[in-house]
Amino acid sequence: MSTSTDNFSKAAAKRTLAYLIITMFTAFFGGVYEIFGHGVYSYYMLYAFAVPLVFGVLPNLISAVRGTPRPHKVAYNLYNSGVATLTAGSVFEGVLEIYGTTNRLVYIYLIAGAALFLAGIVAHIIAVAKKRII
Amino acid sequence: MNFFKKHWWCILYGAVLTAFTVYISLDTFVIERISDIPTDSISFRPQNSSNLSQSELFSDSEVSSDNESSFENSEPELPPEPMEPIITENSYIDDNIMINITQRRVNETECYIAEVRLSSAEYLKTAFAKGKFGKNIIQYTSQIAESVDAIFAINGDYYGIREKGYVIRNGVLYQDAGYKNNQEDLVIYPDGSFRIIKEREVPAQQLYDEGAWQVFTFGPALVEEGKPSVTSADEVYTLNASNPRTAIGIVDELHYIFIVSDGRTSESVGLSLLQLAELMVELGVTTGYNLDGGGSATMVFNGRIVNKPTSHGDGIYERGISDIVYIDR
Repeated sequence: MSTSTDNFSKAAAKRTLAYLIITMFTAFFGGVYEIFGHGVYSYYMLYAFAVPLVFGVLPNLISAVRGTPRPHKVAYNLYNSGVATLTAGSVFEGVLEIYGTTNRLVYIYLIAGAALFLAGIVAHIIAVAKKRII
Repeated sequence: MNFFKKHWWCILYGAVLTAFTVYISLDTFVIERISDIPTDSISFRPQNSSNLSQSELFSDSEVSSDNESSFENSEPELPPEPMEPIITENSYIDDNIMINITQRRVNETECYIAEVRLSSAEYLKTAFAKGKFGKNIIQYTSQIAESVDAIFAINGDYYGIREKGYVIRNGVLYQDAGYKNNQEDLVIYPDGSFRIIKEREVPAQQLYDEGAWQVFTFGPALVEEGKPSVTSADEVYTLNASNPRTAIGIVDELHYIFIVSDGRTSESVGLSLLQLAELMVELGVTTGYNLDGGGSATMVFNGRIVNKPTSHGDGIYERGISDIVYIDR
């Protein structure tokens, strides 16, 4: 039992590290972009790193500490895709704001990202419920 | 092979996300989209044509100042009547138009000030890049000015980078989708008068029905009732630093001030909105409005670029824009 928990913790720690790298890269990208923005700033760009931090690093860190198993693959993929889409959307909206423009399609990031994110959570809940029934 | 099998979702979705981002980037910044030009337009209805004499055109010049620098012949000689246009390096005068450009240094920034007097507002016109209305259709200010044979031009509001905001130009309503926020627009009527409106309060159709000659969506309003209407905290698209600026203001009937300031260079730091507003008030402007600035800020006179436009301070060059405000000779 303790071996499997250790394995789960190690796997979660790896995922935490991956999300941490993504968070740091996003923060670095946003910072550099702002430096060359001639005083124009965008909260979407400045705080884009918060998306992978809150929805990636934190849950995986908790999972690593508690040694919980990885979610079902489908749920995991959907969830990660949602986080990636929301992060990319935040960065892109930041680019638009700093340039002083808009695009009617940018909302697709939010809708698709939120849908994938929620689908991942729902899929996880269903997978957990199925396990319990079995 | 095993890697692709294991991470097929990640690779597939990553490709989809990348493709979408590339498409939306091209859609925003590159792909030209020409809109249909409305056939329903009003013709110019000149009002208050002043038919000023030349001596009246040049009387009580507002922009003369001890701080002016180095432009030759900033006070052109009065011509005989009737007259052919007289053009110097920095001035133009004919029966209907007087333009006098001076240069001042304000807040460690070179500012180019054009005082313009007209006999009718029909000479105050706008033009689109390549003569077309749409998105991502751009040309340099000097190119657009040349295409319409403008004697004087400044960059406009760069309507082409926004999908909303009223666009009425030369009496034609091109775009009526407005912002619901505090977006302030400048309306120029056929009598040459200026009015500041908020898009959420006045529909574009109403402005059109009132006979609006030009409507610009950038802002904010810099001067209202002869006083600065911005503070040091005011921002444009969350931009509050010193930058190159372009502004237009009215002093009194058919008497205008156009200002373009340099910025982002070691020679000129640029102006804040408040500094620009204070300069306009000093020049006697009663209603003033901020147009697109930054790398767009460009003034052209008689085919020559007057200021030093720059996007990043790494060289003096024009940026492609979607529209200009110009004086038609």
